[in-house]
Amino acid sequence: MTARAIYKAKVELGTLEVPVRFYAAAEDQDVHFRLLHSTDGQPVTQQYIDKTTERPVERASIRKALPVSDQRLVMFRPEELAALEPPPSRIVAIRRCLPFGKIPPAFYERPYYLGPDGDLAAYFALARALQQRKCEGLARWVMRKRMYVGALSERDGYLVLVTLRHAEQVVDISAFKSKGSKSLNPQELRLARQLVQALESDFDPAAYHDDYRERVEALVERKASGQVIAFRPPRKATREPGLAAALESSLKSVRRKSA
Amino acid sequence: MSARKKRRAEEKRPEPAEDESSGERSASRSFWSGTITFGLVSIPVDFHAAHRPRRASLRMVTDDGHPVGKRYICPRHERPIADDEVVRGFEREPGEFVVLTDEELEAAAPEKTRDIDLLQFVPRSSLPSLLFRRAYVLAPAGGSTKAYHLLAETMERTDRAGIATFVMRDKAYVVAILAAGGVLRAETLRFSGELRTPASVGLPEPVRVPAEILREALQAIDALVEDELDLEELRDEASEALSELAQTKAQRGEDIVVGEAETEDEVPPVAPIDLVALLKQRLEHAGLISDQHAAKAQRPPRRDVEEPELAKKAKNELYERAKTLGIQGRSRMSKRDLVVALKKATG
Repeated sequence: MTARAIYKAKVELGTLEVPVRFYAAAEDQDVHFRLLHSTDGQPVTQQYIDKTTERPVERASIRKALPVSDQRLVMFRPEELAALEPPPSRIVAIRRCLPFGKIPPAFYERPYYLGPDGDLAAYFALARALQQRKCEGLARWVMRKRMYVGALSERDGYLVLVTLRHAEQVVDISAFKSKGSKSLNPQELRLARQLVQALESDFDPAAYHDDYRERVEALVERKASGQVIAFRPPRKATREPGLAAALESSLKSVRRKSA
Repeated sequence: MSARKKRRAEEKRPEPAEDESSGERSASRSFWSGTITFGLVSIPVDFHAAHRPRRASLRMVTDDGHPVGKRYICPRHERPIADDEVVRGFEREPGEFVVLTDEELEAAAPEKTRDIDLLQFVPRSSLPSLLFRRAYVLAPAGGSTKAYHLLAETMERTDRAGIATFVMRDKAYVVAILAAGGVLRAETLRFSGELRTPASVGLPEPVRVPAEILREALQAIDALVEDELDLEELRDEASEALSELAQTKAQRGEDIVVGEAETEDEVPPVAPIDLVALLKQRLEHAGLISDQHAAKAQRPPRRDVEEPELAKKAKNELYERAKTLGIQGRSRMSKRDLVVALKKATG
C-alpha cells in the first residue's frame, strides 16, 4: 500500500525538473498516554484561558504577539502576519550542492522521502547523480505557508529531503578550536586509535531497538482484566459506565491470549 | 519535584513534539551528566542543549494582551481539574483506557544508569541524514579532561563516529557521538523502527536512467558545488521579517502590551543561551583556550534593558492600581506608560 503524499512539488536543479511527492520518513513511535479525570476516567480536554483573569478564551479571538523586550509585547493583526507569508510556490529550488558531511548533523530536523510524481527517469537520474557526486543539495521551498531550507540527498536509490534548522537555532561551537591535542602525547594517541579500531564495525541501525513500548503494552495487557476504564462520549455516559465494557474487554483480552 | 512528577508536568505542557522550544530551556547550565564508557575508559561529560528556539517565537495573547494558557477540563463535570485529579491512561482500544500508575510506569521504565555505553565506532559517512534527531554538546566534567580530549582528537583524525546507548530521564536513546573542533557532541538518532523505508512508503522500483538525463543532472550538480556550508543560506528570513515588523510597531507605539513576568515554562524573549561562555569557562579552566579566544567567544547578551528602577516594580501591581483608578487603555500600556499614567492620575 502506498502511503499518502503530504505535498507535491517540482525539484529544480539547473535545467532539470523533477516532479516529486513528499512522504513523511519518520513515524512517531513514542508511547503516548491520555490524561484522564481520576474520578470518572474521562479523557480530559484542553481549554484556552486568559492567564491573567483565568477566564476561558475563544480560539478565534486569540492573537499573536512577539516580545520586544522583557516586559513588552507587540501584537499583530492577522493581515500583518499574512503579509509576511511567502508567496505560494511548488518549486523545490536547489541552490547549492555540498559534499556529504559538510552540513553539521545538528541542523537536520525532519526527514521526508521524495517519491517520483510521473517522470521516473528524471527522478532516478537525480538520485543517481547525487549518489555519484557524494553530494547533498541545499534546497529551499514553500510548504504550508512557510519557507523551508533542506538537504536533498540520495539513499538506497531514492531521494531524501531533510528540513534544516536555521543558523541561529544551532549553538555555534566553532569558537572552541581546542588546543587539547598539544597536551596529548603520541603514545596515547596511538593507543586511542587502536582502541577505536578495535571497536570499529559497520553501522546497522536495526541493531538498536527501544523496547519501552513493548514493556508498556505488556503492562497494559496484564492490567487489562482488572482496571479497564471505558470511555463513552459524555452525553451518552451514565454515572457507572464501566462494568459491561470492562467485562467485554476482559473477554476480548482472554480470547486474544488464547487465540 | 520528583522526576516522575516533572515528567508528567512536561507531558501536560501543550507543545508540538519537535518544537525547538520544547527542548532543555535552562541551557545555560548542564541539565544532565553521564559517563561515556568503552573498554576500560570512562569519560564524565555534562550535557548541554545544542539547539535554541527561533528568535521570533510568537506567543498567544488575548485582545487585551494577556497571555493565553491552557488548562484541563473534564468534559463530563464541565469544570477545570487540578493536577492531582489527573491519571494517565493508555488507549488499548479506541475509547478504552487502562490506567497506569506512576509506580507501574516506573517498573516499565528502562534501568536507571548514568552510563553512556559506547558500543562501536563507525565511519562518519555511514550515518544517513534522516537518522538525526536532536543534538547536545558534551562538555568535559570531572577532574581530568584528558580522556575527553584524547577521544575527541582520535575520532576527528580517523573521521569516526561513536555509537552509544544510554538512558536519560526514563527514556532510552541511541546516539552518535561526534567530534569537531575538539568538542564532543551527542546526536540522538531515530531508532530504525521509527523510519519508513522506500518499500513501506510504496515508492516504485528504480528504472533505468537514460545516459543523457544523468549527464544533465551531474552537470547541474557540478555547477552548484561549493566546498563549505555558508550559514547565510540558513538565515531565518521569516523570523527576521517578523522581528523587524515588531520593532517598527514598537517604535511607533502601536499594539504594545505589557507582558507577564516570565514564568518557568516560557521562552525568554531573545533566548540568550550562554553555552558558549560556559564551555569557554570550562575549556579555559582546563587550559585549552587562550584569552584571545575567550574574548572572541564572549557575547554580550542581547536584551533591551528597561530603566532598572521601573523594572523592579511588578507591572501587575501597576496594572491593578491603574485598574482601581479607572485609567483608560491600561491593558495596552507598557510598564513605563503605566507609571506615567499613574503619576498623572494621582498628581
